[in-house]
Amino acid sequence: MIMTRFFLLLALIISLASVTACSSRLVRVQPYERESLAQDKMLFTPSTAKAAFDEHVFSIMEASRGGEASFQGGCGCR
Amino acid sequence: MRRLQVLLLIPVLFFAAMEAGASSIDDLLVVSLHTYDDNTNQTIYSTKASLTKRLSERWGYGLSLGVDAVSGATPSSNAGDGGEDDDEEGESEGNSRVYPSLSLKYDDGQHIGAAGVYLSTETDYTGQSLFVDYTRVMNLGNTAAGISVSEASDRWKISGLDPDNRDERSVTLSLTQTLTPHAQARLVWTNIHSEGYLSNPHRFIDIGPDRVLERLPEERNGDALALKLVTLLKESTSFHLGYRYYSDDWSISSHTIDTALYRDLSGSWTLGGRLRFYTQTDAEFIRPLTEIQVADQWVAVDYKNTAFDTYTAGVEFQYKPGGGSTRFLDWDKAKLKGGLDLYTTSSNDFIDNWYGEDSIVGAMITVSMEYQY
Repeated sequence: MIMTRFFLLLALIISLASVTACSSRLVRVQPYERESLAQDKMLFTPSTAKAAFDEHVFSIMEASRGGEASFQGGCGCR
Repeated sequence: MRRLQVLLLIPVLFFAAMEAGASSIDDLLVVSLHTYDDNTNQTIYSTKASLTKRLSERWGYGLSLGVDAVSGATPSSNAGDGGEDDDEEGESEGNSRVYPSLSLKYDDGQHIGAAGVYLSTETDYTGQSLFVDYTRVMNLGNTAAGISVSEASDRWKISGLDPDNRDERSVTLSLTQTLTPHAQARLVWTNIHSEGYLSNPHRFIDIGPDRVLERLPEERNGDALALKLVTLLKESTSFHLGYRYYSDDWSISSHTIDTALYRDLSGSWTLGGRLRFYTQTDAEFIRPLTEIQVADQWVAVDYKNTAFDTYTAGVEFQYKPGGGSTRFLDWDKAKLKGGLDLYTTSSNDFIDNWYGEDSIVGAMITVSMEYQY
């Protein structure tokens, strides 16, 4: 378990360092080109309240969780 | 407890190392109402209020309070008699949940962080979590790498059972990349490690004269990998596509595909439609209900650990009222959002055994108002 966590941390550091180092070579959409991306319908979760409740219900009804950027606290209904 | 103390130190070190920049923390109030109702008489009424308040150029805090009222029937398990249905109606039971949350936020445009505490109290369950999020924004805001860590120490309080803990640690890494001025993608990986009393203490099976409570392994380690894509099809229409693969050491694996289409009908109204498909495999300890014995190491009764599919279809709306301000509200700063989703599972023997229905068919409704005060 300790080795797993070590490799997880190492992978994280390498990933972040790589992304940081290469970020200037990635796509560069200029701020004045981001009008479309700023619209609600272009957000990953257009309604955070609805998405949070949906995820809560799915976590009660199904065995899988995770893959969401938002935090979901524990409850006895899982 | 030691891990909780270590986790508490992280935000202190993190915030102490912050650099200068511009913040995008808004003063925002979100009030939402939710309901869930299905054919097994499970009903949830939920209301939540979240407040984000900017304290300075880069600092702010978040407060939220949610209250759930849950009602359902107490089913009769009869699998030990051969899996045949009996038509006894269970007695109605209810529970309520109160879950406040408090967080400290930082945003200087390049470093976005939050650290907070979450509590959840129910009649028979207490949840308490600490969480820390950090996102590094790079490349003119086109690339963002995030990490989120949470540590939960929950506790069951079941009459007739010794109190027992359910601890959970989750680590989430995310990478968000703008692809074009009209498309962006996000990759998220989550590891969830749970240990303690992971069974559902309300689930049991009657085997002859014996009533046997569900017995599941006391440790579980799961990973989820999700990819999301949002793209603009036309000026008025966006398309969302999401896929998630999940796998854990109980041998449960699942695939989730989630798609949505949003279309602006006018400057005020946006309508959306959503389709979601989910499929999962059996846990390795699942046995047919009729073969479960009192002396088995694991006794699994909950359908959640068996193989089944679910289908969800929904509609969603967003409405910006506009029209200027009144004495109490500036409608130009308000957004109303809501949706209706219909949810159904495939046929499943464990659902039939517990609920007396071949499958679960339910509906979720959400209405919320976001107000930038």
